Amino acid sequence: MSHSADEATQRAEQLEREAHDAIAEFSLEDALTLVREAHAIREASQGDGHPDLIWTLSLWIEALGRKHRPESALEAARLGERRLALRRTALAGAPDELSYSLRELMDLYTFEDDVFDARRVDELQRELDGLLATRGRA
Amino acid sequence: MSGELLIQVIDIGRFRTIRPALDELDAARALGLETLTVLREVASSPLVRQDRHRGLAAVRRILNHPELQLRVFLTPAAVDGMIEGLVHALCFENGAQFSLVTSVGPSWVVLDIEQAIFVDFDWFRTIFLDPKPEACRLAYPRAGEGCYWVLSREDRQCAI
Repeated sequence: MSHSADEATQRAEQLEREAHDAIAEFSLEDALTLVREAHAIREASQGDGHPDLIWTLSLWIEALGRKHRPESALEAARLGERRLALRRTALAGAPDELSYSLRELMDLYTFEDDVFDARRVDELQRELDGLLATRGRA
Repeated sequence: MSGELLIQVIDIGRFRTIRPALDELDAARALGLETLTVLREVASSPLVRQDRHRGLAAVRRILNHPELQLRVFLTPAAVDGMIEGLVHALCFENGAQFSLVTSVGPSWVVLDIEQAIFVDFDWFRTIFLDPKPEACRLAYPRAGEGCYWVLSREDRQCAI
């Protein structure tokens, strides 16, 4: 890794730590600002397929979830799709963990008692069932 | 609780011993052998076997995949919850269990600010009247309502 890329990664790590603390303190707007900057830095310096983006997206999703608003929940689900795509690669050798990831995304499509994309949740459920059946046969 | 503080007994020496493991878990990267040993210890504790702390469910997942970086498959909330469960299980007396029905138990006491009869005691002023200095804050758990401040005394250690 080049010196400038290394510096960028360190900067992103620092921003993520601050965002994590801000979420814990319910300073959600601060957390969102920090995590968006960290995400932009990581995408620019590491590429949009790097597994380090998973944690950044998780922080982003968590901050949005704590806002507990329908529009935030929708954005969290959109980010959850990005996170799942990255996890499919990172967890290729751990199908049991991919099951958890599918369930997490299904939860993101639910706000209070409303499912805002039932078709997508059904797709995820079918994939989860297939994964569990495969593991059951193994 | 409002206007009340929960004081619990902690083994601060044990906390210091596992602090490097807690730091490594907090970083949410791949874990070293010593941290995995701490996780195996907590996995065999009654708290996990009796499912008394939800956060500790992540311990089994980590031990199933020690090769993975935590940040790839766990959420920040899951990591925070696991660290809290781990500190409770390994460092707090009685697994940090307490009852809101009984204000005095084997390892906890609930103090109410209305008990001003204690105001002449240093420890009471320390708890209720002194600003809580960050230096006294227990490093973990660090999230939300699960935070503790350490009341240092020569003969014992308590956390609130």
